[in-house]
Amino acid sequence: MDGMFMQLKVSASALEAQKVRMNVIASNMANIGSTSTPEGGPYIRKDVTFQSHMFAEGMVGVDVPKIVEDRRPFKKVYDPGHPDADKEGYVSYPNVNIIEESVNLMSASRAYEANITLISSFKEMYNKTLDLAKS
Amino acid sequence: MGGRSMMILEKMMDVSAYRHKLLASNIANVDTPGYKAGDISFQNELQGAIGDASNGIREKRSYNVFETTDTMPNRDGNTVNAELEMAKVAENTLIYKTAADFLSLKIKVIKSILTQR
Repeated sequence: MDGMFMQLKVSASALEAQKVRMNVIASNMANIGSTSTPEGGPYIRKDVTFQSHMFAEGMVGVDVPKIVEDRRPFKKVYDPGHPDADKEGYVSYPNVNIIEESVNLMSASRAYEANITLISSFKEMYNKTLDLAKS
Repeated sequence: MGGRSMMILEKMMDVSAYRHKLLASNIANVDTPGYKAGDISFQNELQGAIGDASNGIREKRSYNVFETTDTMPNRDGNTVNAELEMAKVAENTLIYKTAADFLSLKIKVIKSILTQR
């Protein structure tokens, strides 16, 4: 029995991973204009890394082992009146690109839907098997 | 009772249930860097399973899982093609449901024969 339902765990692990990814994208988008953070400096774009995780023979789920920071440079905008401007009058804006985030969000939600479809098809197949006992 | 056709339907369900697991893994890892999509040949595995059963071999066969080669790997080495995998899922689900429906029909026929008076 365990082997049979393990497949649901595989799909659920992917749902979880894509959800974490969507959360990170939401944080990036929300902080597109955050020029200061409690840690100092502007907000740094975050990204997730995916890693496959073997559940059983032939069944490979996915994990998010860590959330990494994007090391690309900040956007410098000349605005001497800004409270976060440096000595030369430049403000560092987060290295977040709204288009890139939107594309990633779309990709994450498509992947999420695909995994939902897999769970539904598993349920259909399982119900068919149960129906055999009723015939 | 039921004979060969029931055995074939049973093997069809067996093989497609296993293939569904592989396809679920592929879809789960659609964004995992370096992941290689795996698949089995439904036809070959079914023929093998039927052959085994006809020869009275009872042990469970191990499936010959291969890496799919019909897609170009992504820049990160991932070879899952989501659209292709979803098409396979649709096909595989249909095969499983068809086999289950026919098996159910077969059981109904046997039942009606048994309950004839």
